[in-house]
Amino acid sequence: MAHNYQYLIETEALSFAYHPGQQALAQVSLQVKPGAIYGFIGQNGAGKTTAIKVLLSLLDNYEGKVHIFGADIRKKRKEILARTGSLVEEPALYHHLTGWENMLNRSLLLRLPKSRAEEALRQLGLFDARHKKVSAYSQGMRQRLGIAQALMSSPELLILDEPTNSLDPNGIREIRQLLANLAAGGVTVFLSSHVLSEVEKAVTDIGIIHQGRLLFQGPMAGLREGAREEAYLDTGDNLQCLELLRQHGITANMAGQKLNLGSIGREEAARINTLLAGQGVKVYALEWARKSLEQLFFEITNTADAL
Amino acid sequence: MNKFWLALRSEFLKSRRTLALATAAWLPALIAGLAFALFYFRSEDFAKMGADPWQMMAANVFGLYAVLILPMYAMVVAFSTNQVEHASNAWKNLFTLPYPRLTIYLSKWAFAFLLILAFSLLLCGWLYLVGNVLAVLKPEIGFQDFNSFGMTARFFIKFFLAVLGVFSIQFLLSFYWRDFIRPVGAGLALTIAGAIGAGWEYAWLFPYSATVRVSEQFRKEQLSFFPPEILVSLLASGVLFLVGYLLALRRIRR
Repeated sequence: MAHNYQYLIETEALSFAYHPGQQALAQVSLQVKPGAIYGFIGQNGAGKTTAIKVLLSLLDNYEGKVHIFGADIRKKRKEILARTGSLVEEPALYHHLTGWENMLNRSLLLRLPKSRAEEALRQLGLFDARHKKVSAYSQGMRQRLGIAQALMSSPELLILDEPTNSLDPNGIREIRQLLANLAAGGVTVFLSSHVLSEVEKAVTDIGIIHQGRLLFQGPMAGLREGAREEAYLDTGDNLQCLELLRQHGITANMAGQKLNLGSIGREEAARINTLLAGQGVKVYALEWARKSLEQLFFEITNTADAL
Repeated sequence: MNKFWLALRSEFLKSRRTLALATAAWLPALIAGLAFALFYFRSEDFAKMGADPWQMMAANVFGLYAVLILPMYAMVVAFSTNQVEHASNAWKNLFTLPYPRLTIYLSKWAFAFLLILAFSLLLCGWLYLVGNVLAVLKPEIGFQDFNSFGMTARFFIKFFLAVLGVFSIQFLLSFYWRDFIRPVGAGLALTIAGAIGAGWEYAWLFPYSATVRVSEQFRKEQLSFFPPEILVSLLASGVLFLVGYLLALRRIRR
């Protein structure tokens, strides 16, 4: 396999349809740098799992090119999979076996020493529960066992489909930390999720997929910087305030519990504040903030829908 | 080849605490135990008959074995080996291993095949043991005076070959349907139909009649390993293996 590649995962005009006319992926060109934690986000049915299945060679009747580790997945399937750990949809565990037996089975198939199974179980905090049957595990424990299996072969690439599903907040934080440690050790992580607040904290790069089309791709920091700071206003009665602002020709929108004033400058903000004070409106807060990933996501996908 | 053995060992590991493995271990012993009890407690009746006791014992066992026990066991094995993967949607996981896809499917099929073979050989072995124990405990029956167990063993092989058609159909049904009721219910209905229609002139074409027809051959002492019903069973087995593999590839694409 090639050793010189700019992107560890690279797809070129990747398209896939389960049925004729129903395009699940349309001209998707992913570019995942080595060592990145790439968050692949999209709503349910956007094409995330389909793309992951293509990357893992579970679907091979696609159009376009798919290169991983610089090699074509169709030509070097086994070699690529040998260097990849994965978790697709829900963890595929044998519930009548114990956690340890599940790990042993995996280590047998991958020709790994038992010590690797032990290590991975410790890493995911399941070592003490290893002799319990998986049927007695909680959903969160099963999810962690699935991740432990994916990690067991010390893969260079980790592909995780919704890895924080069923995890409690503590478990989510642990997985986030684990992924950061893995990436620091040179592992490339490709994860899909629809929990945007979690992705935002965990990833270095992001891809936004919507109705099978890749709408955005790039560093997370770049996405944030690209988003202008906007002013938010909190008053005693936001609805009345919104009406008042509109009467004075000032554009504003409700944004959760606050009013979004858009990208206004300090002078404009002061003028609005004076106006509101003059009308007897109590202003509790006037602050600037960058948009969250969730806001950016909806902005990007709504724009695409409008086109 | 190495990967095939690893995948096969993995199947053995996964079969722990499954119905198929447990049944392969205790059912032959139970059948042999019943045969022992029958001959032990009715030794005088069998002694009076003066016939070859090995053949009598085999005839007693083969009646139910051919009609129900062996086809049912093939169904249970086919169901159990597939259910292990269905239960947690593990087929996809298997196909993301760095293994040739055919190796993965073949190892699962081969494991089920070996389980049925083990079941047949264990029962054969247990019956041999029972005959020899009875030769000591109840010499009046005459097990020690005859040396015809070879024919019984030969028919165990014929039964095994005959049931492969049923096994392959059931393996495919159990792969396609994730629940217990449909594949086993259909299998049971076909087995009953096979038993009822075994005497029909074209029944040799129907794999579910094959074991019953082989039991008939035992009665007539037709020793050939490859009568038409066994050839049909083997052919069905080969074709359905390929169909099942193609279906497996299609299913993971959903």
